[in-house]
Amino acid sequence: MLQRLRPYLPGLIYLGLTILVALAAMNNQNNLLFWILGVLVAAAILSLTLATLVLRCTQVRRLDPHYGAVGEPLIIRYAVTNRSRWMSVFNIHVSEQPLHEGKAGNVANAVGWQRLMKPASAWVMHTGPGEMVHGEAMFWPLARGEATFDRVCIHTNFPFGVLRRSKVISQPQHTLIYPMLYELRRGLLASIAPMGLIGSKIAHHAGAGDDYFGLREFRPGDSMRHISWKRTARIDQLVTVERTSPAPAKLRVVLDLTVSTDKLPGAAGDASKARAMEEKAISLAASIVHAADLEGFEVGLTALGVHSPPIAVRRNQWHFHKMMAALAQIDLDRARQTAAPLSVRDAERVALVMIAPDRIQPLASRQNAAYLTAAQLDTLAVRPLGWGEAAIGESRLTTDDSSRRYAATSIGQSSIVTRQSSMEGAAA
Amino acid sequence: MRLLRSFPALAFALVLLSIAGLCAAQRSVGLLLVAGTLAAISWSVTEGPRGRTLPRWVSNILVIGVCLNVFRDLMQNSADVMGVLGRFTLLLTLVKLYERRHARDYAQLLMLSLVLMITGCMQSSDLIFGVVLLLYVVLGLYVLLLYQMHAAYEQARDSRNASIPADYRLAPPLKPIIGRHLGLHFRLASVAIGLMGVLLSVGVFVGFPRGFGADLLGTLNAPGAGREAGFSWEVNLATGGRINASAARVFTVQFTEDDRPIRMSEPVYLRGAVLDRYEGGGRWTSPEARTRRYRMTSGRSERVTPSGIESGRTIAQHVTFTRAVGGEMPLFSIYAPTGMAMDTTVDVLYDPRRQALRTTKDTRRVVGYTVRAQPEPSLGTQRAITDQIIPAGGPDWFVDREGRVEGLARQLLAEAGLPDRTPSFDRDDRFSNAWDWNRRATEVFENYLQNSDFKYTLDLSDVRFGSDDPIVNFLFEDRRGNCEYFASALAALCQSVAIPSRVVVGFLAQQYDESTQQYVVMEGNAHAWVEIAVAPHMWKAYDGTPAADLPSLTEDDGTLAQAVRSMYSRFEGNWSTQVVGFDTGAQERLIDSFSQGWSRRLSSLLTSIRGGMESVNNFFNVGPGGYIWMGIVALALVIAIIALARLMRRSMAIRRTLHLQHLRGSEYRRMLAQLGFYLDMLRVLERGGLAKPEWRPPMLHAAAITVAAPEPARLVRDITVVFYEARYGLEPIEGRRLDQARGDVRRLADLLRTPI
Repeated sequence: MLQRLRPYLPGLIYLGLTILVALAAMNNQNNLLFWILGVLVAAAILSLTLATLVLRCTQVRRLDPHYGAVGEPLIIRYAVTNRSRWMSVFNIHVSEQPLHEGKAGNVANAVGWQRLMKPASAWVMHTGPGEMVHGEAMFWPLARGEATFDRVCIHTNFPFGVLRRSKVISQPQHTLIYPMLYELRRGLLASIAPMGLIGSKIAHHAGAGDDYFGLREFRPGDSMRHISWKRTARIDQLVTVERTSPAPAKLRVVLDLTVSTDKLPGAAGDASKARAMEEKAISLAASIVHAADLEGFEVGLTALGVHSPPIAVRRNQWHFHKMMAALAQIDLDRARQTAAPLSVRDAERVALVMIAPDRIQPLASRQNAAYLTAAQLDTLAVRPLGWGEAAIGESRLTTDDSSRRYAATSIGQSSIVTRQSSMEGAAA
Repeated sequence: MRLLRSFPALAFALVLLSIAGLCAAQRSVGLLLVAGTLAAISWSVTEGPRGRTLPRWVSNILVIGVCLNVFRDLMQNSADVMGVLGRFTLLLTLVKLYERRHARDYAQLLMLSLVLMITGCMQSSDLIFGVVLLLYVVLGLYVLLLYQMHAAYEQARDSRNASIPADYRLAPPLKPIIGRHLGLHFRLASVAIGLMGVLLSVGVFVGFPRGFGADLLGTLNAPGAGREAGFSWEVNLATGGRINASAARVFTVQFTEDDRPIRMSEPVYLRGAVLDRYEGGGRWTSPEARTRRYRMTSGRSERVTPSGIESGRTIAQHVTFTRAVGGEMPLFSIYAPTGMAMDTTVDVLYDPRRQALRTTKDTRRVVGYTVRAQPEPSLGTQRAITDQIIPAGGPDWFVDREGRVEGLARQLLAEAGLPDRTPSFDRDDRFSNAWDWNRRATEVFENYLQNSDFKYTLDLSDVRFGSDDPIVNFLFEDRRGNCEYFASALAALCQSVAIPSRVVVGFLAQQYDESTQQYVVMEGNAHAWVEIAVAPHMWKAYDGTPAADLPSLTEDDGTLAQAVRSMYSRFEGNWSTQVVGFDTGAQERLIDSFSQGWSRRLSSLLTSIRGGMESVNNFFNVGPGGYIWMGIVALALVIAIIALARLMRRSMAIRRTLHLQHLRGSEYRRMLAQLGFYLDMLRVLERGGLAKPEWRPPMLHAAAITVAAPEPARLVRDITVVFYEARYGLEPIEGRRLDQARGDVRRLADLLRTPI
């Protein structure tokens, strides 16, 4: 923990004013000016002393933000603790120091957070003696990836704003920034994965579905409606009808990144354009995964050409974050792998959508797969998730749990954009 | 946020206070009415839901206009630079009050208010302004604390709003993060900071060396600014300005005759300095003259006149200063001084030409003295106390170039029926001698000044002398002034018709305290009058100031108004003496009293300690060796106290670091005894640059530092294992394990090259 005292413009102005007052007081031997000079000097001394004391008794700890997403605010909370038992602490600013890349915990190729998002700071107005409060900084991620935080800087200019003292605390941490999620047009998923023979299945076990599965003896607790009266009358024993368990639709998203960035034909040699196309493809894939998960699909993800193992088709919150993390961690600068066609399991009875940045390479074994390119994102997406309608004053997207519309979250003071809250349609 | 919402109103009040302070300093009621009204209505105009502020371009134009007005004001009042600066700042403040206010604008407003008060300080030192200044400082400190919160809140809100893209409209408003009891804590902090600030500021005020850097940049004060009534070694009528009649007590004087206190029948003129040279331009001085030096010691008296001289009625004046004085100062006394006694060893100089006593420049501390005087000295005494016959004229006299003063004098004499020149006394039997004519003529002049339309005033701030001599201006133009003007005019009239006269400055003792049988003399009793020669070796006092206007305190009539006036006068006196008049001498006196007080206390403490040790030694009857034993015991006691303090401090650190607050009794004592090694490990790690964050478990920290420092990480792991056993284990840990852990801590310290 290193305390610093840095040059500060208001402090320099204050110093100049003090010197002028001192000169005037000495020149005129005016005792009232001497007293004002005393007040100015006292304020400077108190500023230095109190700012040092405040920083000494203030502890800050960054709380793990878990993850963020491009286009959505990333709220990072800091636990600010006042260890003093008698002194209150006012006006604490907490900010992140830019990372010196490659030095954070010796993690290779560490990406500093400053490359992925704009700086922001948290402000704590007051912490009482022995208290802890949570300050919030709202970052705005601009690119996906793994953001590495290293050092936290706290500074204060209390009480008079004459001096600014700061202290740097080391707290290495990583967090993932998911790709930008879009609200997709209605019917897209239905067109990709119709709820028919491919999209829906009937599980081969009993459940609460509608189709006939089998008969069994009556057990106490069974509903009277499920008794097969015909069979019961025939064998003179209560018999219960068992129904099948419906299986949700399954979808696998395949992201084809086998073509390296510089070889994308559609970019015409423009590296930034090519990279943008790849990022759009990743965002499109993430948006489809998100939309499918909201619709109740079981989703799997395969990323071809990058060092990312295929993810099985599942459905739960942890699984969703696993897919998002995989998309966030795709390193487009690494050498691409030549993907084998069999990396997409043919025997998997799932709907398949393949997304490529530029040109599609159809799979010979899957004739009914859906193929999308990055350029189609502009037509398939309605708006970024969570963004309000443009040019509409203070409208908010309301949540509708029953219809499972994509809910824009209203960012409260202490809220984080969470997948869970958007699924439940609750604004924090 | 009530605290933040109160900031705009308090800042506005502070600015209003500074405007009032400047107007009070400039003593301009009109300015206060206009500026105060404009400032006050700016709140209703700019604040609130229907508030309107000046557009930026309008305020820029107004500022340019204000700047141009400065040049005009400066040309009209070139001598009053501070006044011009004050008005300029005032106008800027008024423009700023009507602008939209963000954090930066508030900072500018606060700065402008400070400049207003600073310029006010350079123009006035009244008690009223002092009270406004004190209120401003107290309120200003609080407002400045609030400003930091307000500015930080605005900055946080603006940066949050700036980071949100334009199309994202769901960002909530920023709410400040606060703990519990914000209002109470902030008020407590403000009071504590305010008290510390006031103490420090008083320390700087008292300790800052006076006299250093004086007039380094020239004269910046307004003419006559900050002048206080009081004794001065010269009279300068050209300064003008306003004099504040101070009620600060200077000294008390008791008159005794034959060792019995007496009360004089008339106001007593206590002579200080005799100014017998007119320099021109309204300035009277007292040039160097031959003096007799007397080396005085405490209680010993000296005579100015030789012994054996026929003596008349002798009155002793016992003077006691309210505060000890030093340096060159007159021994105030009635005419004619014949002897003195001092309360301390000092050198006293007697000026026989002026019949005045004074101390030398290197005098340190004088609290009181006694001067014997003869109000009606005998001829022998007259000759003994002077060194020459009073001359009839000289180059030091007032020169009336245009002859207007002489013309007036002759006119007055003619109207009074007196001859206009010293008569031939052989022929004219109306006068016993020329000295008698001097007296009669002076009475005519005195009567003229006292009973004509001359007005006594202390405020000459608007007097413009032009090319006239201030005395001529007083007699023929303004016809108003203070006692110095009346005395100068009387002396000029006398000298214009060859009457030997001189201006005397000192104090006029009027207020008699029956209880102590003393006269109380205040700064406001400083006075100037004239002495004219009424005999070859004798002077007599005449006072041109109208009697009704003599600076005095009326008798206490017991009314509430009088009590309030007296109290105000007392405060004003103390303010003038202790704050406005605080100088190098006051610093030295303060240091002397402080050092003497502390040395007295220290010596009494040492004496009592010595006495205690002697009594203990006598009790045990050990002899001289007993003192050695006592020293050893005292040293052991000191060491024990230090060790105990360190032990308690370590116990508190262990309790706090390891969160043992909930433990009691034997369990707590066992933990304290066993877990010290863990605290040592944390300290070693901190000093070695591997500090463990409080939130991180020690095992995790060992893993975190493994890459950077593998060997220390291993030791940290081993020590942590023992710590867990000792802290959370069901059985008490073995001593061997504790010793092993302590050894590991030492090895860790060696590895990291830090002390434990």
